[in-house]
Amino acid sequence: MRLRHPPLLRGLLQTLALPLLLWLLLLGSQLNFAELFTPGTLATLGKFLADFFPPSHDAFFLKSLGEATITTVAVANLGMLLAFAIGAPLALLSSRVLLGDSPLLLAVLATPIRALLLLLRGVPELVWALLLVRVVGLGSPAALLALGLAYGGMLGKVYAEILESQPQAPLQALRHAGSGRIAALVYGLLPNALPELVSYTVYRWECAIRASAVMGLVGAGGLGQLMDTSVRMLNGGEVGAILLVFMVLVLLTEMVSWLVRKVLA
Amino acid sequence: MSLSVERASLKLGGKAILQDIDLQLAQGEQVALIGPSGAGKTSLLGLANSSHTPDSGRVTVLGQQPARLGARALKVLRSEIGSVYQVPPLPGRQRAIHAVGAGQLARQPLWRSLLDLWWPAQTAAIAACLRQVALPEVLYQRCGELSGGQRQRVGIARMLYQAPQLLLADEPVSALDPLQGRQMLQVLQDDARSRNATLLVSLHAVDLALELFPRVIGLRQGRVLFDLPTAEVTPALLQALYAGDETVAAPALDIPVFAGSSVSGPRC
Ligand SMILES: Nc1ncnc2c1ncn2[C@@H]1O[C@H](COP(=O)(O)OP(=O)(O)OP(=O)(O)O)[C@@H](O)[C@H]1O
Ligand SMILES: [Mg+2]
Repeated sequence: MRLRHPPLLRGLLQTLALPLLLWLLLLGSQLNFAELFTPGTLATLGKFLADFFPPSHDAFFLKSLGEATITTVAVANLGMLLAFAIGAPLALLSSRVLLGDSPLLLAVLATPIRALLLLLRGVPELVWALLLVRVVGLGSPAALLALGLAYGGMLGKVYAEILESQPQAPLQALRHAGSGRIAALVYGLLPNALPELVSYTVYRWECAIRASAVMGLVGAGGLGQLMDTSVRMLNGGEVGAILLVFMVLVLLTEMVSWLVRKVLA
Repeated sequence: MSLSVERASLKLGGKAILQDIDLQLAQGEQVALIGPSGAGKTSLLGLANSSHTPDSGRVTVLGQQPARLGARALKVLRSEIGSVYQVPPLPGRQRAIHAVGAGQLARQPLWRSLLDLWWPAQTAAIAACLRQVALPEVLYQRCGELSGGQRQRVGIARMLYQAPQLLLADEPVSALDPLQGRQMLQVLQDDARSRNATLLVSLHAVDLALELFPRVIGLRQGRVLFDLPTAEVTPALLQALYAGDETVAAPALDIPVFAGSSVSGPRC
């Protein structure tokens, strides 16, 4: 029987830990806010921005802009598909939800798979892209694979966490009535976990659109690569047009994910 | 024997919860399990439905020892053990039709169970089970939108739909009014009787246990205090069973209520 409160000191430490951690992170990043706002930098910024208008809109540029946009969206979507194909099964195979409490299964399956997921998401997608560009060459396949691997690692970890954080009683009850693992998972956990799973997935999809554009900067195609070229040529109009398209894209994805969440809630 | 527990003991979290439990339930028997809060009723039902394994002694269910079965045989055995839980384990967002339909997961192939989520094949049978627990209107409602008593009855409907050989119900009517509680117990009894299945029900309502069940087991501090035909359960025995516990509806039975301090025995 437990009559004592959790020790006061521990509660206090837990409360103080987060602000302390944030402070350390800030120190570590050596951000100097004052330097961001000197007259010199502000003037450069102003000139840069002024060059963006009017955005370029000649037919030739628009055509490559359209192609790059399609590439970026396609890479993001296919990359998410690959990430899901990697993350969902690995999440199940690495969580107690499917494996139960058997120490053998946990040791043989869960531990190595968790390590694999850590490796996948531990390497940032940009770094994956840099590596893969060396392997599969310049272009969108490298970006697609990079997204799939890095985000597969994230989805795998977060899916497993979401499933394990649900109340397990419904699943256990079904298992104790003889139901198979997957059926018990689908009937016992998924109903409550689904909104969280979908919500996290569409959030990742939003990130994938952004990441897909960024990865162009390392030669993996799409809007990022176009942007890279335009910036190198100091073509402010083109950069403005690309940023505009990009903002519209982000706005659209946010609207789609808002819709998905609303339908599901 | 439908359920046979022999000198079984159970520890949970290093604490002895059940000690030297001995009881036999014949096929088709109907038994009530009573005892003060914390006596171990839920734990005993957990032994019976194989969610707990005894630390010593033996539990045999429908002729087999769950602790000795392989995964496949255990699943088959468990499909014949139905449980109604004290707190209905139903996901809040699940619709009642699927919550009840889950009673057959063990007996149908996975593809069927998955397809059922979009295209339920057994709507009529599931609706019939819900009608038995007087809830015909909630078929497509989410469990989280139901009242506590309604959820409890959906849990009962799931077990009816499962139609197992051994029915275990842990305080299945605790959230229902007395009239409806009696009706639900009778529904369970009728179902068990019609299939010659065995029924073991834990109850806080001693009056219902004495009124409806031919045999009553009294559990106190992890031990069987008595296991008798209802006619032989005397007020003195009930007094001893609940001694030190003044939260029970003892006055309804004309049992003098003891003050907590006058009778020894640690209380949780
Ligand atoms: N998982 C567990 N770990 C440790 N102790 C437990 C666990 N589950 C139950 N207990 C303890 O076992 C004892 C019996 O619990 P149990 O739930 O079987 O009682 P009960 O008779 O069903 O009570 P109630 O009438 O209140 O439902 C209690 O003292 C409880 O604290
Ligand atoms: Mg209990």
